[in-house]
Amino acid sequence: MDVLDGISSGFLIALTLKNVLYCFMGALIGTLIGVLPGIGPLATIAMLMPFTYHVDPVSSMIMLAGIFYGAQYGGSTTSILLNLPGEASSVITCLDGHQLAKKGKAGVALSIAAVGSLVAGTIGTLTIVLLAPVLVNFAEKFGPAEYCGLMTLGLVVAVVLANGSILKAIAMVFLGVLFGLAGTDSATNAPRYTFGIFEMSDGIDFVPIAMGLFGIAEIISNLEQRTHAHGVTPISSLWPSREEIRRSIGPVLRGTAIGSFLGVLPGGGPTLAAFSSYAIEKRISKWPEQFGKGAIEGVAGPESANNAAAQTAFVPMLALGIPSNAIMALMIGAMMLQGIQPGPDVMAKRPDLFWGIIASMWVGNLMLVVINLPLVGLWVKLLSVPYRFLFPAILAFCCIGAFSLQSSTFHLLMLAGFGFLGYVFIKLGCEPAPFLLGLVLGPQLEEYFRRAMHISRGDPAVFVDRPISLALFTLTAVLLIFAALPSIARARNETFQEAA
Amino acid sequence: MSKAVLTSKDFWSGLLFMGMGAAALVFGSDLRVGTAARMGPGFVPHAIGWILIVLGAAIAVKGFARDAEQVVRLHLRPVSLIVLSVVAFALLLQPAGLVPAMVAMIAISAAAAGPVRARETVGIAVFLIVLCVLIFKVMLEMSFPVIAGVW
Amino acid sequence: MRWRQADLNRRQAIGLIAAAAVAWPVRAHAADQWPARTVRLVVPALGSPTDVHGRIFAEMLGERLGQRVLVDNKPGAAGNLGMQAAVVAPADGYTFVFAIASYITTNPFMYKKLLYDTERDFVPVSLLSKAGFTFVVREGLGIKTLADLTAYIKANPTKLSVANIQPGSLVHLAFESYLRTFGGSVELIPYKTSAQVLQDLWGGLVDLYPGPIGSTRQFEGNGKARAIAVTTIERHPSLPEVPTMAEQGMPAFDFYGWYGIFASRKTPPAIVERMNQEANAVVASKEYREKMIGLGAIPVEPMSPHDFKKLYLDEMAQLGPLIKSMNLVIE
Repeated sequence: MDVLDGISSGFLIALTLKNVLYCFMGALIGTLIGVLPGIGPLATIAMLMPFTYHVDPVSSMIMLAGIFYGAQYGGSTTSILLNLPGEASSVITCLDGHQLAKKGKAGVALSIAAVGSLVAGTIGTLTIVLLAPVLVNFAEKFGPAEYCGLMTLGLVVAVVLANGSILKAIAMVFLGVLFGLAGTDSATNAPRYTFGIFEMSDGIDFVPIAMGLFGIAEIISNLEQRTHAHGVTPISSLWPSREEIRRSIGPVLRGTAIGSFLGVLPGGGPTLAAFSSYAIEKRISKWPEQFGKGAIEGVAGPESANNAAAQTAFVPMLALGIPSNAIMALMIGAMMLQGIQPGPDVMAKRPDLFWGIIASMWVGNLMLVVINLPLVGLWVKLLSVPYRFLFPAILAFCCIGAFSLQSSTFHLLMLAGFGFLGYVFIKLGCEPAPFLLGLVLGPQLEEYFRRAMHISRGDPAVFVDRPISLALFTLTAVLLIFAALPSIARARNETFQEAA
Repeated sequence: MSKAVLTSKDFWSGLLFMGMGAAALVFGSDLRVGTAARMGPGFVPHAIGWILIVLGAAIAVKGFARDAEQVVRLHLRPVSLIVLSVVAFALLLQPAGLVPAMVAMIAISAAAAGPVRARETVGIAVFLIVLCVLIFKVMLEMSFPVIAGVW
Repeated sequence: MRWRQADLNRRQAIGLIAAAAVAWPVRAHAADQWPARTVRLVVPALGSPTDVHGRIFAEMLGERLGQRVLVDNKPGAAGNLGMQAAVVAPADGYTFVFAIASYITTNPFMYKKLLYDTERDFVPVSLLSKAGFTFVVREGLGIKTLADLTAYIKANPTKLSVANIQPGSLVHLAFESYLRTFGGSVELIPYKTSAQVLQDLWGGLVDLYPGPIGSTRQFEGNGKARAIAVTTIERHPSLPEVPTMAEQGMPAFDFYGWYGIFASRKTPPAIVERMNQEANAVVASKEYREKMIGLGAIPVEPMSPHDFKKLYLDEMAQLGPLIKSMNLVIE
């Protein structure tokens, strides 16, 4: 079926009243879920699965998809307002987004995030439509060696994006990797750092760590400063200025490009895209010192990147039947229940499903902006509530959210522990973002490295023999050199100055 | 050696990293290491342990520099009370229910925010408890008791 | 006043009968009234195929019972956390657990320490469905049948890269069983998710994927890989052209996982009986059977709890020695 035919029929399907309604429901539920810290789209979609049997496959998939990317939007809201990342990909938004909120510019951050995501969604949909075969080809070429290259690149990115001491950032990355290793080694079933506790055998869940290091630690730190105990953050501007919009255009476009490609890779996705976008924007910005203090580029780029990635994450599932993440796997289950076997022939056998979902993603993005932009005023008002009323609410939502994952008291205790650790990090000037990236990427890097070596039967040449892998490792090396250059140059200058 | 070392951020961060690295080695001592080509479960943990010790030492040494950044404003009250409030919530939620857990959490955390205004705190508690019960118990049907034995 | 012995016995007897007469309707009443409120089904998984199966069953059971069957996800630790939650819950007939075969038949041999003991803590209620596996081979190796595979492995020891997701899983045991019939050796590559395996299978990096039928049907008619055998005694309705192991020279080869319901041992037997009847009604229903096939599972004939227990005890007798001989026991 011709691509243009496909997408136009897709829009016809997506724009029927019934599907618009399902799309809206999904987007709304997703936003609410994303805003509530801890409860994620996975549990929500699982809960709604039975509901989908009674609905035709196209409509139910449209709704489930809406929940997925709706949660991304909602997650940005809590990241910016409360420094609470719901998922790994929202962590980056916290960095500058929350700083903007602290300066009274929450509205600016929220609206740029929403519009940037819409642009990313639009371009992302176009990318899928025009480039789906290219993207699929790209995904197929990625084996363990390439993933290794990507993860290594990601870890170097984590260091580059640090706003403080490079040495400490590197140490934080490694510390994050260490924490990520806790659990059962998937290759040998050997328990690592589980201390005999059964709840540890699947590792420490991301949500209590992120909520503790960011949310709880932030509360402690704010209370310490006492300014928030009585004062109210004055709102300086609700909507972005022309200058801020202008500064955001480049990051949005670049972020979309990064996200579109990284999102296609199963297991890669929004997190890596968001972090990479941030690092790139920081590198090429004329005012890098603003990053970490409220640079609008640090919100525009990553938000677009993670939304673009969320769109293209559907490509492997729709085109190959390979789920990019656990949520896609659930959606595949939902499709199977409706009698549709996901796989390469879905595009040919059920073009209505394929194109209908893709078209509805754009519709959903539009709806999300329509839902979220008017809410900006409401959210900002919420922030102006005196802190002594606000922080117990944040605490309560964090606690219940952390518990809700697995109905687990253990997770709550983890939340407390990481809250304490996060406070220690703040005091010692150690940044949590590199830690989190290490936590997420490190274990994956180990897994892919071992697998690559196993498949090649111990031959390390596999990393340079395969072209994409070679390219990624070279890029990593280049990035490392570029990152180190300024420090080397500075050290050289200092030695010269002292010698003079 | 100036006394400022003992309050420099780098010194203590360095110690933190070294401590974590050492813990990694100690608690991972029974893991098989293997080779780089055939990594066992212990290869990466051991490697990271050593890396953290080395990096930690380097960072700690930087803390001896004259212009090392100092740790600022360490107040014990907010951190201990907030952490305690979360722990109290954790320990009370399943045995006693949401209401006692939230009461404890709000009461303890209120003390962390400065002088406690009793009426305000009670008001916040009531509002939040009702809100949370509505959202999490009624709408989302989570599996914790609101008050143990009653609901 | 001294009671005569006979009078005493008669009084005791009358007292007992009277008590029973009062209590019996109450007990039966309890079973009749069941379920009087929401029933909780603990599912030791979240977002995985097990979760999907559990939710489907919960939905359909709820329709039959006229009461909500609420799924309580408790993932983690290979089912330990979920099973334990079902043990500590009050045994009033309102908590059941959705178990997969490995929790019951292989966990006891794989782990030195478990948070539950099936014999001590649970009674079986109903078998819900079975789930078989296929061997999927990538194209380019010239392997089209099981005989081809066996020949290839014999001619190229340790050359074949075989993806394995969970050491000690039933599919791992199935494959190992197959290898032992001719002493074959392959290189077992660990993977974490089936999505990763599929990606590497497409990319030609891994050669063979023994996996659940539901995760391996993407290849039908695509030329990148093919399923050469199913591990159950009968072909699967959704893969009619894939022969069984039995048809290809391994009679009595029958490996599969299953899904079932268990209840705490202290649950009143009358309620266990009721639950068995209701669950079996779901199992026999056309809708449920169609859904099972759709997901790659195998519908089963309804069974009594007694027969269900015999089923898994027999499986344990077979699998236990196999696991021990594979040196897989972990802490």
